[in-house]
Amino acid sequence: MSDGPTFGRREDDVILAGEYVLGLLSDLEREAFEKRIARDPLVREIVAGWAEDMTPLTEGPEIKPPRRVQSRIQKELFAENTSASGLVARIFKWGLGGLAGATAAALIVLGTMTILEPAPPSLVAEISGEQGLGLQAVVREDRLTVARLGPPPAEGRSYELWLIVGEAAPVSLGLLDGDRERLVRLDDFDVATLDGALLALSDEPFGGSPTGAPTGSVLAAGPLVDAQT
Amino acid sequence: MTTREDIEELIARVAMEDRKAFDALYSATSAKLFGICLRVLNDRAAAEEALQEVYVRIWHRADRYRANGYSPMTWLITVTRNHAIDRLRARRAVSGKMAGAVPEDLPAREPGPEALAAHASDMALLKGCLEELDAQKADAVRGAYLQGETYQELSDRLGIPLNTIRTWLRRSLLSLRACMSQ
Repeated sequence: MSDGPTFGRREDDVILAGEYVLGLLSDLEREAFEKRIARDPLVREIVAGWAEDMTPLTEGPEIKPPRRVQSRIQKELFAENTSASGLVARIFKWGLGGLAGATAAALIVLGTMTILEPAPPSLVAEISGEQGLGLQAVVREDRLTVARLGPPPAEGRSYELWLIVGEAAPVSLGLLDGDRERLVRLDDFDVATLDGALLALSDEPFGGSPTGAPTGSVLAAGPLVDAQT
Repeated sequence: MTTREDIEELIARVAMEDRKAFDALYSATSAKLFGICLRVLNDRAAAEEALQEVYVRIWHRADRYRANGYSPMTWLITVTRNHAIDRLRARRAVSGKMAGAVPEDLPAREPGPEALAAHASDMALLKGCLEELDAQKADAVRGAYLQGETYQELSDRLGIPLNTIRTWLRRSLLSLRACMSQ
Protein backbone atom coordinates (compact mmCIF):
# COMPACT_ATOMS: atom_id res chain seq x y z
CA MET A 1 0.00 0.00 0.00
CA SER A 2 1.45 3.36 -0.96
CA ASP A 3 0.40 6.67 0.47
CA GLY A 4 0.22 9.38 -2.14
CA PRO A 5 0.77 13.05 -1.42
CA THR A 6 -2.93 13.48 -0.59
CA PHE A 7 -4.81 10.29 0.24
CA GLY A 8 -3.53 6.76 -0.23
CA ARG A 9 -5.59 4.12 -1.95
CA ARG A 10 -6.83 2.73 1.36
CA GLU A 11 -7.78 6.22 2.59
CA ASP A 12 -9.63 6.79 -0.66
CA ASP A 13 -11.63 3.64 -0.08
CA VAL A 14 -12.42 4.70 3.48
CA ILE A 15 -13.66 8.07 2.23
CA LEU A 16 -15.61 6.59 -0.69
CA ALA A 17 -17.25 4.05 1.62
CA GLY A 18 -18.21 6.85 4.02
CA GLU A 19 -19.66 8.92 1.18
CA TYR A 20 -21.50 5.82 -0.04
CA VAL A 21 -23.06 5.13 3.36
CA LEU A 22 -23.99 8.80 3.81
CA GLY A 23 -25.49 8.87 0.32
CA LEU A 24 -23.16 11.59 -0.99
CA LEU A 25 -21.98 9.88 -4.18
CA SER A 26 -23.40 10.80 -7.56
CA ASP A 27 -25.33 8.07 -9.37
CA LEU A 28 -22.36 7.20 -11.55
CA GLU A 29 -19.92 7.08 -8.65
CA ARG A 30 -22.35 5.00 -6.62
CA GLU A 31 -22.81 2.45 -9.37
CA ALA A 32 -19.08 2.10 -9.88
CA PHE A 33 -18.56 1.72 -6.15
CA GLU A 34 -21.35 -0.86 -5.84
CA LYS A 35 -19.53 -2.97 -8.38
CA ARG A 36 -16.42 -2.82 -6.21
CA ILE A 37 -18.46 -3.72 -3.13
CA ALA A 38 -19.79 -6.76 -4.95
CA ARG A 39 -16.29 -7.88 -5.95
CA ASP A 40 -13.97 -6.84 -3.15
CA PRO A 41 -14.44 -8.25 0.38
CA LEU A 42 -12.14 -5.59 1.85
CA VAL A 43 -14.23 -2.78 0.42
CA ARG A 44 -17.35 -4.58 1.65
CA GLU A 45 -15.88 -4.68 5.13
CA ILE A 46 -15.09 -0.96 5.13
CA VAL A 47 -18.65 -0.18 4.03
CA ALA A 48 -20.10 -2.44 6.75
CA GLY A 49 -17.90 -0.65 9.29
CA TRP A 50 -19.26 2.73 8.24
CA ALA A 51 -22.85 1.47 8.26
CA GLU A 52 -22.29 0.12 11.76
CA ASP A 53 -20.70 3.36 12.97
CA MET A 54 -23.45 5.60 11.63
CA THR A 55 -26.49 3.73 13.01
CA PRO A 56 -26.35 5.49 16.42
CA LEU A 57 -27.43 8.64 14.54
CA THR A 58 -30.82 6.99 14.07
CA GLU A 59 -31.26 6.56 17.82
CA GLY A 60 -34.42 8.06 19.22
CA PRO A 61 -37.74 7.10 20.72
CA GLU A 62 -39.28 3.84 19.55
CA ILE A 63 -42.82 4.42 18.33
CA LYS A 64 -45.30 1.62 17.90
CA PRO A 65 -46.80 1.76 14.40
CA PRO A 66 -50.60 1.51 14.08
CA ARG A 67 -52.01 -1.99 13.49
CA ARG A 68 -53.06 -1.20 9.94
CA VAL A 69 -49.43 -1.15 8.81
CA GLN A 70 -48.93 -4.83 9.64
CA SER A 71 -52.23 -5.78 7.96
CA ARG A 72 -51.16 -3.96 4.81
CA ILE A 73 -47.82 -5.75 4.80
CA GLN A 74 -49.55 -9.12 5.22
CA LYS A 75 -51.97 -8.27 2.46
CA GLU A 76 -49.27 -7.10 0.08
CA LEU A 77 -47.06 -10.14 0.64
CA PHE A 78 -49.42 -13.01 1.27
CA ALA A 79 -52.92 -12.12 0.09
CA GLU A 80 -52.81 -13.97 -3.20
CA ASN A 81 -50.06 -16.14 -4.45
CA THR A 82 -50.98 -15.47 -8.04
CA SER A 83 -50.67 -11.70 -7.69
CA ALA A 84 -47.60 -9.86 -8.87
CA SER A 85 -46.27 -9.47 -5.33
CA GLY A 86 -46.76 -13.16 -4.61
CA LEU A 87 -44.62 -14.01 -7.57
CA VAL A 88 -41.81 -11.86 -6.34
CA ALA A 89 -40.67 -14.49 -3.85
CA ARG A 90 -40.24 -16.98 -6.67
CA ILE A 91 -38.03 -14.57 -8.51
CA PHE A 92 -36.05 -13.44 -5.53
CA LYS A 93 -35.18 -16.75 -3.96
CA TRP A 94 -32.42 -16.87 -6.57
CA GLY A 95 -30.64 -14.02 -4.90
CA LEU A 96 -27.22 -13.01 -6.11
CA GLY A 97 -25.05 -14.72 -8.66
CA GLY A 98 -27.70 -16.21 -10.93
CA LEU A 99 -26.87 -18.22 -13.98
CA ALA A 100 -28.54 -15.80 -16.30
CA GLY A 101 -25.46 -14.09 -17.75
CA ALA A 102 -24.41 -16.61 -20.36
CA THR A 103 -27.89 -17.21 -21.66
CA ALA A 104 -28.76 -13.55 -21.64
CA ALA A 105 -25.68 -12.77 -23.69
CA ALA A 106 -26.92 -15.18 -26.32
CA LEU A 107 -30.20 -13.37 -26.69
CA ILE A 108 -30.35 -10.95 -29.53
CA VAL A 109 -32.32 -7.86 -28.71
CA LEU A 110 -33.31 -6.06 -31.82
CA GLY A 111 -34.89 -2.96 -30.34
CA THR A 112 -38.06 -1.41 -31.61
CA MET A 113 -39.11 -2.92 -34.91
CA THR A 114 -42.19 -3.22 -36.96
CA ILE A 115 -43.23 -6.68 -37.96
CA LEU A 116 -44.52 -6.48 -41.49
CA GLU A 117 -46.45 -9.70 -41.66
CA PRO A 118 -47.21 -10.75 -38.13
CA ALA A 119 -47.78 -14.42 -37.43
CA PRO A 120 -50.70 -15.12 -35.11
CA PRO A 121 -49.79 -14.69 -31.44
CA SER A 122 -49.22 -17.86 -29.45
CA LEU A 123 -48.79 -16.35 -25.98
CA VAL A 124 -49.77 -13.03 -24.43
CA ALA A 125 -49.35 -11.25 -21.11
CA GLU A 126 -51.16 -8.27 -19.58
CA ILE A 127 -49.40 -7.32 -16.38
CA SER A 128 -50.09 -4.44 -14.05
CA GLY A 129 -47.57 -3.70 -11.36
CA GLU A 130 -46.53 -1.07 -8.88
CA GLN A 131 -46.24 2.68 -9.44
CA GLY A 132 -48.52 2.60 -12.46
CA LEU A 133 -46.14 0.33 -14.33
CA GLY A 134 -47.36 -2.44 -16.54
CA LEU A 135 -46.21 -4.79 -19.28
CA GLN A 136 -47.98 -5.94 -22.40
CA ALA A 137 -46.36 -8.80 -24.22
CA VAL A 138 -47.07 -10.89 -27.28
CA VAL A 139 -45.16 -13.93 -28.49
CA ARG A 140 -45.30 -14.70 -32.20
CA GLU A 141 -43.22 -17.65 -33.41
CA ASP A 142 -39.87 -17.12 -31.72
CA ARG A 143 -40.24 -13.40 -31.11
CA LEU A 144 -41.47 -11.60 -28.04
CA THR A 145 -42.73 -8.05 -28.39
CA VAL A 146 -43.01 -6.34 -25.05
CA ALA A 147 -44.25 -2.86 -24.23
CA ARG A 148 -43.84 -1.03 -20.97
CA LEU A 149 -46.68 1.12 -19.64
CA GLY A 150 -46.10 3.84 -17.07
CA PRO A 151 -43.29 6.17 -16.06
CA PRO A 152 -39.62 5.93 -17.06
CA PRO A 153 -37.10 4.74 -14.45
CA ALA A 154 -35.82 7.13 -11.77
CA GLU A 155 -32.62 9.00 -12.53
CA GLY A 156 -29.64 6.68 -12.32
CA ARG A 157 -31.83 3.55 -12.39
CA SER A 158 -32.84 1.13 -15.11
CA TYR A 159 -35.74 -1.22 -15.70
CA GLU A 160 -34.64 -4.75 -16.52
CA LEU A 161 -36.89 -7.36 -18.06
CA TRP A 162 -36.67 -11.01 -16.96
CA LEU A 163 -38.09 -14.30 -18.13
CA ILE A 164 -38.52 -17.12 -15.64
CA VAL A 165 -39.35 -20.55 -16.98
CA GLY A 166 -40.61 -23.02 -14.36
CA GLU A 167 -38.13 -23.29 -11.53
CA ALA A 168 -35.18 -22.03 -13.56
CA ALA A 169 -33.29 -18.87 -12.59
CA PRO A 170 -34.52 -15.61 -14.14
CA VAL A 171 -32.93 -14.86 -17.52
CA SER A 172 -32.39 -11.23 -18.41
CA LEU A 173 -34.07 -10.09 -21.61
CA GLY A 174 -32.33 -6.72 -21.41
CA LEU A 175 -33.35 -3.24 -20.36
CA LEU A 176 -36.65 -1.52 -20.95
CA ASP A 177 -35.66 2.08 -20.23
CA GLY A 178 -35.99 4.72 -22.90
CA ASP A 179 -37.53 2.32 -25.41
CA ARG A 180 -41.01 1.65 -24.28
CA GLU A 181 -41.22 -1.27 -26.63
CA ARG A 182 -38.78 -3.98 -27.59
CA LEU A 183 -38.57 -7.03 -29.73
CA VAL A 184 -36.66 -9.93 -28.24
CA ARG A 185 -35.71 -13.09 -30.10
CA LEU A 186 -36.33 -16.16 -27.99
CA ASP A 187 -33.73 -18.35 -29.74
CA ASP A 188 -32.55 -19.70 -26.41
CA PHE A 189 -35.98 -20.86 -25.30
CA ASP A 190 -38.30 -23.55 -26.48
CA VAL A 191 -41.35 -21.39 -27.15
CA ALA A 192 -43.63 -24.40 -26.65
CA THR A 193 -42.60 -24.53 -22.98
CA LEU A 194 -43.24 -20.85 -22.25
CA ASP A 195 -46.94 -21.14 -21.40
CA GLY A 196 -47.08 -19.99 -17.75
CA ALA A 197 -43.52 -18.64 -17.77
CA LEU A 198 -43.18 -15.37 -15.87
CA LEU A 199 -42.23 -12.00 -17.24
CA ALA A 200 -40.94 -9.56 -14.63
CA LEU A 201 -39.67 -6.00 -14.59
CA SER A 202 -37.21 -5.06 -11.88
CA ASP A 203 -35.67 -1.82 -10.70
CA GLU A 204 -31.88 -2.00 -11.14
CA PRO A 205 -28.82 0.23 -11.02
CA PHE A 206 -28.36 2.21 -14.24
CA GLY A 207 -27.23 -0.15 -16.98
CA GLY A 208 -28.83 -3.21 -15.45
CA SER A 209 -28.23 -5.73 -12.69
CA PRO A 210 -24.52 -6.00 -11.85
CA THR A 211 -24.92 -9.66 -10.87
CA GLY A 212 -26.88 -11.17 -13.75
CA ALA A 213 -29.80 -11.82 -11.40
CA PRO A 214 -32.49 -9.38 -10.25
CA THR A 215 -31.19 -7.22 -7.39
CA GLY A 216 -33.84 -4.51 -7.00
CA SER A 217 -37.57 -4.42 -6.36
CA VAL A 218 -39.78 -6.27 -8.79
CA LEU A 219 -42.14 -3.63 -10.13
CA ALA A 220 -44.35 -5.86 -12.26
CA ALA A 221 -44.56 -9.62 -12.77
CA GLY A 222 -47.03 -12.00 -14.36
CA PRO A 223 -47.38 -15.06 -16.55
CA LEU A 224 -47.43 -15.49 -20.30
CA VAL A 225 -50.65 -17.28 -21.16
CA ASP A 226 -52.02 -19.06 -24.21
CA ALA A 227 -53.34 -16.43 -26.62
CA GLN A 228 -56.25 -18.68 -27.64
CA THR A 229 -57.80 -18.98 -24.18
CA MET B 1 -35.40 -7.94 25.37
CA THR B 2 -34.62 -9.39 21.98
CA THR B 3 -30.93 -10.14 21.57
CA ARG B 4 -28.76 -9.77 18.52
CA GLU B 5 -28.79 -13.57 18.15
CA ASP B 6 -32.60 -13.62 18.26
CA ILE B 7 -32.82 -11.08 15.44
CA GLU B 8 -30.19 -12.95 13.45
CA GLU B 9 -32.14 -16.18 13.84
CA LEU B 10 -35.40 -14.49 12.83
CA ILE B 11 -33.85 -13.01 9.69
CA ALA B 12 -32.44 -16.43 8.77
CA ARG B 13 -35.90 -17.96 9.13
CA VAL B 14 -37.53 -15.14 7.16
CA ALA B 15 -35.05 -15.92 4.38
CA MET B 16 -36.65 -19.38 4.30
CA GLU B 17 -40.07 -17.75 3.96
CA ASP B 18 -41.11 -18.50 7.54
CA ARG B 19 -44.11 -16.22 8.13
CA LYS B 20 -44.19 -16.74 11.89
CA ALA B 21 -40.60 -15.59 12.11
CA PHE B 22 -41.56 -12.58 9.97
CA ASP B 23 -44.34 -11.68 12.44
CA ALA B 24 -41.95 -12.09 15.36
CA LEU B 25 -39.35 -9.93 13.62
CA TYR B 26 -42.01 -7.29 13.03
CA SER B 27 -43.05 -7.34 16.70
CA ALA B 28 -39.47 -7.06 17.86
CA THR B 29 -38.29 -4.33 15.49
CA SER B 30 -41.19 -2.33 14.02
CA ALA B 31 -41.32 0.30 16.81
CA LYS B 32 -37.64 1.04 16.35
CA LEU B 33 -37.85 1.17 12.56
CA PHE B 34 -41.06 3.21 12.62
CA GLY B 35 -39.31 5.71 14.90
CA ILE B 36 -36.58 6.08 12.26
CA CYS B 37 -39.12 6.51 9.43
CA LEU B 38 -40.90 9.20 11.44
CA ARG B 39 -37.74 11.07 12.35
CA VAL B 40 -36.53 11.11 8.75
CA LEU B 41 -39.85 11.79 7.04
CA ASN B 42 -41.59 13.84 9.76
CA ASP B 43 -44.97 12.81 8.39
CA ARG B 44 -47.09 10.02 9.80
CA ALA B 45 -48.78 8.82 6.63
CA ALA B 46 -45.51 8.80 4.70
CA ALA B 47 -43.75 7.00 7.57
CA GLU B 48 -46.44 4.31 7.63
CA GLU B 49 -46.10 3.75 3.90
CA ALA B 50 -42.33 3.68 4.19
CA LEU B 51 -42.48 1.14 7.02
CA GLN B 52 -44.76 -1.08 4.96
CA GLU B 53 -42.33 -0.96 2.02
CA VAL B 54 -39.39 -1.59 4.34
CA TYR B 55 -40.87 -4.84 5.66
CA VAL B 56 -41.82 -5.99 2.18
CA ARG B 57 -38.21 -5.39 1.24
CA ILE B 58 -36.96 -7.22 4.32
CA TRP B 59 -39.11 -10.22 3.40
CA HIS B 60 -37.68 -10.34 -0.11
CA ARG B 61 -34.08 -9.62 0.77
CA ALA B 62 -33.60 -11.52 4.02
CA ASP B 63 -31.62 -14.20 2.19
CA ARG B 64 -29.05 -11.64 1.18
CA TYR B 65 -28.44 -9.89 4.44
CA ARG B 66 -25.40 -11.98 5.32
CA ALA B 67 -23.65 -11.17 2.06
CA ASN B 68 -22.77 -7.61 3.05
CA GLY B 69 -21.37 -8.35 6.50
CA TYR B 70 -23.69 -6.06 8.50
CA SER B 71 -24.87 -6.96 11.98
CA PRO B 72 -28.60 -7.79 11.96
CA MET B 73 -29.86 -4.52 13.50
CA THR B 74 -27.50 -2.48 11.31
CA TRP B 75 -28.90 -4.22 8.26
CA LEU B 76 -32.51 -3.52 9.31
CA ILE B 77 -31.69 0.09 10.20
CA THR B 78 -29.78 0.63 6.94
CA VAL B 79 -32.61 -0.78 4.81
CA THR B 80 -35.01 1.52 6.69
CA ARG B 81 -32.84 4.63 6.64
CA ASN B 82 -32.03 4.23 2.93
CA HIS B 83 -35.65 3.72 2.02
CA ALA B 84 -36.82 6.68 4.11
CA ILE B 85 -34.10 8.87 2.58
CA ASP B 86 -35.12 7.82 -0.95
CA ARG B 87 -38.68 8.86 -0.16
CA LEU B 88 -37.54 12.09 1.42
CA ARG B 89 -35.44 12.98 -1.62
CA ALA B 90 -38.30 12.17 -3.96
CA ARG B 91 -40.57 14.40 -1.89
CA ARG B 92 -37.96 17.16 -1.88
CA ALA B 93 -37.57 16.90 -5.63
CA VAL B 94 -41.33 17.35 -5.92
CA SER B 95 -41.86 20.07 -3.35
CA GLY B 96 -38.52 21.76 -3.89
CA LYS B 97 -38.13 22.58 -0.24
CA MET B 98 -36.47 21.06 2.76
CA ALA B 99 -38.37 19.03 5.32
CA GLY B 100 -37.99 19.86 8.99
CA ALA B 101 -35.41 17.82 10.86
CA VAL B 102 -37.22 17.40 14.13
CA PRO B 103 -40.62 15.73 14.34
CA GLU B 104 -43.16 17.36 16.61
CA ASP B 105 -46.27 16.19 18.42
CA LEU B 106 -45.29 12.54 18.25
CA PRO B 107 -46.44 10.33 21.10
CA ALA B 108 -42.95 9.30 22.10
CA ARG B 109 -42.50 6.00 23.83
CA GLU B 110 -39.30 5.94 25.82
CA PRO B 111 -36.97 3.04 25.06
CA GLY B 112 -36.55 0.53 27.87
CA PRO B 113 -33.50 0.72 30.16
CA GLU B 114 -31.78 -2.22 28.44
CA ALA B 115 -32.21 -0.66 25.02
CA LEU B 116 -30.78 2.58 26.31
CA ALA B 117 -27.80 0.87 27.92
CA ALA B 118 -27.06 -1.23 24.85
CA HIS B 119 -26.76 1.81 22.62
CA ALA B 120 -25.43 4.33 25.07
CA SER B 121 -21.79 3.41 24.50
CA ASP B 122 -22.03 3.38 20.67
CA MET B 123 -23.89 6.66 20.77
CA ALA B 124 -21.32 8.19 23.13
CA LEU B 125 -18.45 7.12 20.88
CA LEU B 126 -20.01 8.55 17.73
CA LYS B 127 -21.06 11.70 19.55
CA GLY B 128 -17.57 12.17 20.96
CA CYS B 129 -16.01 11.69 17.54
CA LEU B 130 -18.48 14.08 15.89
CA GLU B 131 -17.60 16.64 18.56
CA GLU B 132 -13.96 16.39 17.56
CA LEU B 133 -15.00 17.74 14.15
CA ASP B 134 -16.07 21.34 14.18
CA ALA B 135 -19.78 21.98 14.58
CA GLN B 136 -20.47 22.74 10.94
CA LYS B 137 -18.78 19.56 9.73
CA ALA B 138 -20.61 17.41 12.27
CA ASP B 139 -23.82 19.10 11.16
CA ALA B 140 -23.06 18.24 7.53
CA VAL B 141 -22.51 14.56 8.40
CA ARG B 142 -25.84 14.49 10.26
CA GLY B 143 -27.59 16.33 7.41
CA ALA B 144 -26.35 13.79 4.87
CA TYR B 145 -27.19 10.74 6.95
CA LEU B 146 -30.50 11.79 8.48
CA GLN B 147 -31.88 14.15 5.85
CA GLY B 148 -30.27 12.77 2.71
CA GLU B 149 -28.65 16.10 1.90
CA THR B 150 -26.39 16.04 -1.14
CA TYR B 151 -23.13 17.99 -1.49
CA GLN B 152 -25.05 20.58 -3.50
CA GLU B 153 -27.74 20.93 -0.84
CA LEU B 154 -25.15 21.16 1.93
CA SER B 155 -23.30 23.78 -0.07
CA ASP B 156 -26.50 25.81 -0.50
CA ARG B 157 -27.58 25.48 3.11
CA LEU B 158 -24.20 26.26 4.67
CA GLY B 159 -23.22 28.87 2.10
CA ILE B 160 -19.93 27.14 1.31
CA PRO B 161 -18.70 26.56 -2.28
CA LEU B 162 -19.38 23.03 -3.57
CA ASN B 163 -15.74 22.06 -4.08
CA THR B 164 -14.75 23.37 -0.67
CA ILE B 165 -17.46 21.46 1.10
CA ARG B 166 -16.60 18.29 -0.77
CA THR B 167 -12.94 18.57 0.20
CA TRP B 168 -13.51 19.33 3.85
CA LEU B 169 -16.24 16.75 4.30
CA ARG B 170 -14.03 14.07 2.75
CA ARG B 171 -11.24 14.99 5.18
CA SER B 172 -13.74 14.97 8.03
CA LEU B 173 -14.84 11.47 7.11
CA LEU B 174 -11.27 10.27 7.34
CA SER B 175 -10.84 11.87 10.78
CA LEU B 176 -14.17 10.50 11.93
CA ARG B 177 -13.26 6.99 10.83
CA ALA B 178 -9.90 7.18 12.55
CA CYS B 179 -11.55 8.38 15.76
CA MET B 180 -14.21 5.62 15.65
CA SER B 181 -11.58 2.91 15.12
CA GLN B 182 -9.49 3.86 18.13
